[in-house]
Amino acid sequence: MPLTSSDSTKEAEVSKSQTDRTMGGACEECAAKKKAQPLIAGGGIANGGQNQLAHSADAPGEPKIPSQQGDEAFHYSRRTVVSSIEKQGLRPGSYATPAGDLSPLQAQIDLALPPNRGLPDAVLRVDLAGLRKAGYEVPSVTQVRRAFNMPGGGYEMQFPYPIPPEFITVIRR
Amino acid sequence: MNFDEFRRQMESYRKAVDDEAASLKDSYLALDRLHAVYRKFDLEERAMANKVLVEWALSEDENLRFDALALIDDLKIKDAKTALLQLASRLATSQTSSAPYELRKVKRIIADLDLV
Repeated sequence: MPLTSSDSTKEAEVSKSQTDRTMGGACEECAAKKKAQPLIAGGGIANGGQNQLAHSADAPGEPKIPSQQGDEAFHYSRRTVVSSIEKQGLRPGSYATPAGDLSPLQAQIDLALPPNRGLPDAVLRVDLAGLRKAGYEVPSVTQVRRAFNMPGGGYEMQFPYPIPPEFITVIRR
Repeated sequence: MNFDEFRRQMESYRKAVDDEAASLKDSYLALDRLHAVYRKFDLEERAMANKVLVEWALSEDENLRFDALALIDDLKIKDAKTALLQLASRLATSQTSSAPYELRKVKRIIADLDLV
């Protein structure tokens, strides 16, 4: 499967972080990266102000935070990991959003995904109804806050547990 | 480096890449990193890494088991088969919601390892 330019960048980062062949060296780099990441709360204007409006949930006619998670959610990801997700399921800590119709660019903006990880060109559906029926507790939906210079404003849920492949369908790879 | 030191380093490395993956909202990044570091190991290090992955596979922590199973599966670590059989027995009597699905995965991995 061809790698995108962003994947190449990531591969280069992986290679760089492991050049010294010690696991400890990579850990220091991880810690430094984490400290450098801006996490600024609030609405944004990069998408024409839509997200600022979305944050004003009390305004008439404005989008409200969904009160329920619905029966499905969508995980936006890199196409390079889709086959692994199909086999292993979604790793704990994964995010999903109720919005299944976002373009890769819109997903990056609305979900405040870091631009240096490349556009999320793959979409996977998570069967929330099935998870509930199987006894899983589905996490609540929250609004995405601004991060990585991305305005956010979309909605997301984070799964603290692994999601088995039985509950995942690939929509776009 | 003795095995205890190596185990601590692997635990520390996983914690770091897990934190990094969380901060970048890219949970699979942690697995990418773990795969990459395993491939850099020499034979002696791989033997120790396999022992650590077996311990992780038998952990009570479902999230730690997820990473261990993914690596054992992808890297076809045959040394882990006995531990996987033990895990399968445990999952078969577990009452957790995830147990039937994890058991199915473990059985598939064991079957795949038998083909290697």
